[in-house]
Amino acid sequence: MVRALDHHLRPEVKATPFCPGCGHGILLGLILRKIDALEWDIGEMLFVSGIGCAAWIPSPNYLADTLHTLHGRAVAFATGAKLANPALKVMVISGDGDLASIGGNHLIHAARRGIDLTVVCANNQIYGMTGGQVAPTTPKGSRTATTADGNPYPPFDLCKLVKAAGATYVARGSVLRPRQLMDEIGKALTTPSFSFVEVLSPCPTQYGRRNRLDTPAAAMDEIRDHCRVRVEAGEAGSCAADMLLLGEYGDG
Amino acid sequence: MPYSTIPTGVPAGQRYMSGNEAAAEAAIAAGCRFYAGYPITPSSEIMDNLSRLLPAHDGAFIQMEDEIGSISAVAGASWSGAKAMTATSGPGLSLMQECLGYAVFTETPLVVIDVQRAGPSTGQATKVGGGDVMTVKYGSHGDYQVVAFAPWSVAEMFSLTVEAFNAAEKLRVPAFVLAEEATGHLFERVDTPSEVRVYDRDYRPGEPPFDTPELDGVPSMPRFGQGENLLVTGSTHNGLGFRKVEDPEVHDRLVRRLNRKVLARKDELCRYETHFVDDAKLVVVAYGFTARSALRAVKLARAAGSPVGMLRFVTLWPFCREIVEEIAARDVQFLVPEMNLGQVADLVQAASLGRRVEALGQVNGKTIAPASILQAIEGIL
Amino acid sequence: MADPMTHDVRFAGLGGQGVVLAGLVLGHAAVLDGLYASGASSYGAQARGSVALAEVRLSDEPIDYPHVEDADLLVALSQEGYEACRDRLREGGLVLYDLGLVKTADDGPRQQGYDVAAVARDELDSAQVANVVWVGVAAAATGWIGDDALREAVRLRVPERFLELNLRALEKGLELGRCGVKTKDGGDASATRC
Repeated sequence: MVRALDHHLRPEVKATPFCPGCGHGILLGLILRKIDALEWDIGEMLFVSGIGCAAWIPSPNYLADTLHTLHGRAVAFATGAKLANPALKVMVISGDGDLASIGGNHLIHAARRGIDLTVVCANNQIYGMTGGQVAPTTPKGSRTATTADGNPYPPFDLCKLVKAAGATYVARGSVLRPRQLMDEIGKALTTPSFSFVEVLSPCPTQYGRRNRLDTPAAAMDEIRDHCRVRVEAGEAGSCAADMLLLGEYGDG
Repeated sequence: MPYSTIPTGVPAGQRYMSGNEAAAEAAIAAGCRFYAGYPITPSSEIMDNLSRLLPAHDGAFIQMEDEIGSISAVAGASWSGAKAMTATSGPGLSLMQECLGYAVFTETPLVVIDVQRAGPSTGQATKVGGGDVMTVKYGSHGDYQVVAFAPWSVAEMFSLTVEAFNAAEKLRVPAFVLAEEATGHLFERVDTPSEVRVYDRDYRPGEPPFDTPELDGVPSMPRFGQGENLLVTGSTHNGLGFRKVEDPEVHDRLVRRLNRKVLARKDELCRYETHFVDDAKLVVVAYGFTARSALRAVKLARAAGSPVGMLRFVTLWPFCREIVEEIAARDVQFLVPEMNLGQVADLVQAASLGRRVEALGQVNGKTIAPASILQAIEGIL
Repeated sequence: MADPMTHDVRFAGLGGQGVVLAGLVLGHAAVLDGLYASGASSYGAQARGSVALAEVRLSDEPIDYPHVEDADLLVALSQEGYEACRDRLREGGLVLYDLGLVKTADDGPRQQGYDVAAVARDELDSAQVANVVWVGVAAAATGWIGDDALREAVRLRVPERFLELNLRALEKGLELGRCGVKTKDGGDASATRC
């Protein structure tokens, strides 16, 4: 595994903007490591992002062509960029609110069409950048800036949603299981057609503090405690309602 | 590099076609090779035609899930190097505003054809309107300039679509064809050319893509996949694309340059026609389909001895106040018939050096009849 | 003020009668014949059942104002179309109307009736192509556009699978129009026979 990622990072950028304990920095590195492991030329890639903390993963950090767009529109911009230059390998990296709330319609249509994109959704289950409002992925009962008494609505299961919309490769990983996540990212990148990887990533500052996860470590433990890989979930491959299943979402 | 003359790739000669058909063929002629759009009356024929024409010319076409997706895809495609466009009407144009502002701020060349219908809101979907003049210029937030042309015939639906691409590519700015249902659905004979003069975006390798030493310059336009490691962002940025969201000077410099780069080129952007203004005591100022009615009314009035002339704006944005000022130096009055409540009349008033400006606004979903303009002329003179 | 070599034509019928196509074919034929032409259509809210108009201006010279105001020729395919447009004719303008579907006013302008709907139904086995029959009638009755240009326009504007039928409809219309019909002044009231 490549440890030094300097050759992929813009020299002018000295630090990421992420909070201490944010999982996005881990994801930033894992993506670059996987690209190296695949021996891909990053110069043939295009990274598209929307608005939000996760959208700052590729832009400005990655030394590559980056397209930082509008809130919710990354998949639509990416569709145009890909169709106008099919030689580009296009990866969308954005957050759960950006991709699944305001961007939800563009997401499901691109999945339906099978546009050859790899979409990585950094899911911190909240709107981090704007101060911690509820997201369509926030667990029911969680406290947020706009659900002080606990979120009354259930969240999307984004993987089921995108799979049902027609995506070819769908998987859920977390920044706590980097090797499994890198495998999933690699499979997503090498799958022609539409692929989607949801990545659980903690937000200690906005989600954590409001939900009695007072330290970054506690926020990470929360993800660990609420995610199950298939072998733990049992033969049936399902788990309790408040748990999230890690792994690939195949047919059936 | 600058202008070149290229074969259109579409049939030349005496054609009988609708404005929408002409616009679609003109896009191909201009070198457009990407369209993303959404159906909306009365513009849909442009999309229907390009869905067939583009694949036949090795271009890409996609009908997106909504107008926001459409304009976003157009912007993405432009950064991949394609001349890219969409077509819509009022409600769709409203949806596109955020991304149009993004295109302005990132200096993304693109073309939008607005086939105007009666608004506001859903309005009368199948009826003509002219109320979007301000929308293309002020519909998004912040201070910015765009280019907008107003065709008055099917022939101009062709020629001005080509010119819109040229302006967009040359200035790295959204360029609009501010058409109307009356022209989009009008059939006329057009003598289509076999060649057109087109401008292709300037790429000067190694130059910063988002700033120039000149205060009114247009930067080099690279694309993805050239090894430029582009940093495209809608946040305020420096010449290399790095976000500079705390720096007052960078923001000021960028906003002003984006405005200046259009305004400094008014000489080449401003297109207009004058008819019989030299001896006129009253000048009818018109644009778009209304100018067809106005010219007829002016000719009828002159045949009856009235000292009336006409100024037709072809370019609406940037607004060419200079020609109004020039005419207003003499003792004249102005009459501005429009299919809105005086959007251009207000601009003429501001440039008229205090001369009287009468607005003839009609908002009933119909074109203005020559008789109505004639009646107004007679009322004034 | 009528420009000397401009002819203004208005087809008026109900939605569904193919009035728009009639206007398109006529305008396109004019251009193929070397003329200038402009055309506009309008229809009511209902796809079937409200008045539909197709207007075409034909001229030797470039056309300044592309809409028809008062027509030189009104082709009335239905009673509603006739009623809506009979007052928008120039002095000396001509009304061609369907004998089976339209009852014209006695003191109306110059008019000639043709049994087009019946001809389409009975001789062409398709009521739908009455519109193209009317194009032929109008062209032949006025002499404004050549036959070959009309045939080519039909080829360019009608889908392949209906082409043969529409070409026959055009020929039928040209035949009817050339024979002329009874004006209101006299002669037998039956449909044309040549």
